[in-house]
Amino acid sequence: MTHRAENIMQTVFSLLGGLTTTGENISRGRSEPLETLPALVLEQGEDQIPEGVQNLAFIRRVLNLKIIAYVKTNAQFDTALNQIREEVYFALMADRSQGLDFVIDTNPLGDEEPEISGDAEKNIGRQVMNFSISYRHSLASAGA
Amino acid sequence: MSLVVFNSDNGGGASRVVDVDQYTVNLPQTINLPLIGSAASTIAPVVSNGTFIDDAFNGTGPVNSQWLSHQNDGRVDSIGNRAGYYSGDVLTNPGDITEWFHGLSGTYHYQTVAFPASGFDEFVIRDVGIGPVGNPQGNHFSNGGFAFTGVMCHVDNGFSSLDYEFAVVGHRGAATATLECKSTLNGVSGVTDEGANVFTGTGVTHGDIRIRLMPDRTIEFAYSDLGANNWILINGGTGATTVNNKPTFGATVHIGMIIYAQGTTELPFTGSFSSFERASTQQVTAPALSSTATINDITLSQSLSAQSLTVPVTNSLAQIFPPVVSEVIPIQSLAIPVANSVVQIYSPVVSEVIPVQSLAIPVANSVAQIFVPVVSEVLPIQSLTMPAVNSVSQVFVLVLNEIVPGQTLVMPVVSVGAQVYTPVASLETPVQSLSMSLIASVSQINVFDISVVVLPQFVGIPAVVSVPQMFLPVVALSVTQSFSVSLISSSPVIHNILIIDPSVVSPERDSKIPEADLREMFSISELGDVAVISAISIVGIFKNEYIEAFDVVGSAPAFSCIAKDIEAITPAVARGTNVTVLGVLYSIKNIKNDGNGIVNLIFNEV
Repeated sequence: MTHRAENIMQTVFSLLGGLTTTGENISRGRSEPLETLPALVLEQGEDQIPEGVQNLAFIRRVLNLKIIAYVKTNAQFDTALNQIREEVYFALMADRSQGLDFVIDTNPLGDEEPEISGDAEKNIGRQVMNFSISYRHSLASAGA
Repeated sequence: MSLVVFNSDNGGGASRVVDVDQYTVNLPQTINLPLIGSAASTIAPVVSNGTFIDDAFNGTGPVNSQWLSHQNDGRVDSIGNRAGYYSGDVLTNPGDITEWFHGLSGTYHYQTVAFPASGFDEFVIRDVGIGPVGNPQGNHFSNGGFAFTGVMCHVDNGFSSLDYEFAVVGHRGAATATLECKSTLNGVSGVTDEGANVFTGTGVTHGDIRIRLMPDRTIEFAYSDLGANNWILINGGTGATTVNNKPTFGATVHIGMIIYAQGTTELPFTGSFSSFERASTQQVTAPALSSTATINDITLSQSLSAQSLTVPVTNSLAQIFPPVVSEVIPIQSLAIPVANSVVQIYSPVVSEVIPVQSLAIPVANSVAQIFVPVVSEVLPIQSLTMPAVNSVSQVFVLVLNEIVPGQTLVMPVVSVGAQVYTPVASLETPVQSLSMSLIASVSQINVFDISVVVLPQFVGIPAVVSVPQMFLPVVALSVTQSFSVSLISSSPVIHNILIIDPSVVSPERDSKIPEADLREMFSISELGDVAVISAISIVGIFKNEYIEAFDVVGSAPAFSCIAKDIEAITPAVARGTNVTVLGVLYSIKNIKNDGNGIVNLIFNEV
């Protein structure tokens, strides 16, 4: 049985793997440096249990997601990042349940300021987008 | 005064005593041309045309020393050079002392040449004629007598007997302004003329004469209006003097000038010539060979003029042609023929100290051929052409060590594999045009090195369409008018083009490292690469090391070079300036000057 957090991660990964700008250039659990840009990196954050949101059958969780957009361009790098941010937001917020019957809601938590590096053969830009997804699972199993 | 006795060897028993202070003895007049037609065989010399020194009779004074004289004892007065003319006055003629007829013989200036083995040997004598004393080039009015000036060919017999043919311009009684033709055999003459007024106009007593020495030891005479070259063969178009009293010539013959009169009716007059030139090509020809394992080892080491040297067509295997020419006078043409065999080597070496007008290597159609024309001239080569080749395993090595201009150097089209072209030109003076043609084959290397210190007008490297190819044109020029590299559509391709323009390097600089050290550090022969900025090539060291930024793989292209080279470029190099290195276009992102004369250009990839 799979932890529902993994179900969410897989679903989000699949959703974000079809964006116009970044296409299939998405990864998670990455330990090696990126080679192909523009790209998205999906990182799993805290999976919190807020107080007072459980009963005898279920427990409610809030899974935090960090989605990082990367671009390599000599053009206006934040323009490219904003384009990706728009596509990511639409992908996650169009169906706030993400098509999963155990997901309660998806909430944007705000994006960090864009960063730029001029050390490489082209400018590299990066920006982190934060989302949280509320879901529930049974008291007996995180996968059910 | 020193006296020398010349004894005749023709059985006549005659001898002659001459004053060597007045005579010039020519050096041996033969050309030794050993020809080897097959292995372990020797062929005797076949060509000995002898020498002839042209004369335009410049200056004023005695006849030039190449002319020997016969009876130059004053019977023709004041004979010698007069500002561009050989002339002599016939003022008196006691006992017909000047005349050439039957047993009479006058004054004669001559040189000795050989009859050719083939073709003909041609001599042209300009403005031959008679005129009034004091106006030699004017026409001499006829008084009905006999007065002539012309060209005589005498048997080379030590004048032991009078055996000659001649054609002379002048008056012959009723035949005024004519050309008289005479043959004399053992002092008995036959004579005729071409009729009155043979030259265009009336009473014209000056014209040109042409003689041709034939292989059968006969002589053809012709005449023309002055400078018109409208040659008419004498004696009804036969070119022969007469059918009777013709002498028998030996291997060599005297040719020269006579002025004479019969009687005194036409006296006084002046006879003159404006030039006496050998117009024909002296041909030295090696025979065609058709056997296996043949060697033609042709060596010319004479001090005489070889106008043409021809190596024959060959049809055999394993042939080597090393014609070596060590002339000190011009060779007008040196040609190697078409070859149809395998394993052929052409190695013409020319070590001239004077111009070679043309050096041509032929088309070859065989395998394993090597052309190694080496030219070590110190004077210009007007044209040097390598042919198209269509075979495999061919090597062209062309070395020019000129110190004067090479007007044209053309490398041919090639269309096969495994070819190497190494044209190396180390010239100190301009190359007007230097081009390499289209190459469409694989595995080709062109190494092109020009160390010219003066202006080349144009250097072009051709289009290539194959792999893997390498062009290393290196140009170190003071001024380059045009430098182009054409379309290249293959990979991997290395273009390493260096242009060092000393004009952009001023002597003063503020670096702490001596410029010579910097130049060595950034030498193209070491780690150097070439960056092209605003069509200017700069030598430096290109780095493109691996980096990571934001956990993203990248590279850091940068180019280190001499700061002064960058500062000299116009428009000024700045951020955003485009730079091409190794075929990749970059934009300058930053310029870092280290203060020691080195600048580090940080690139963005475009």
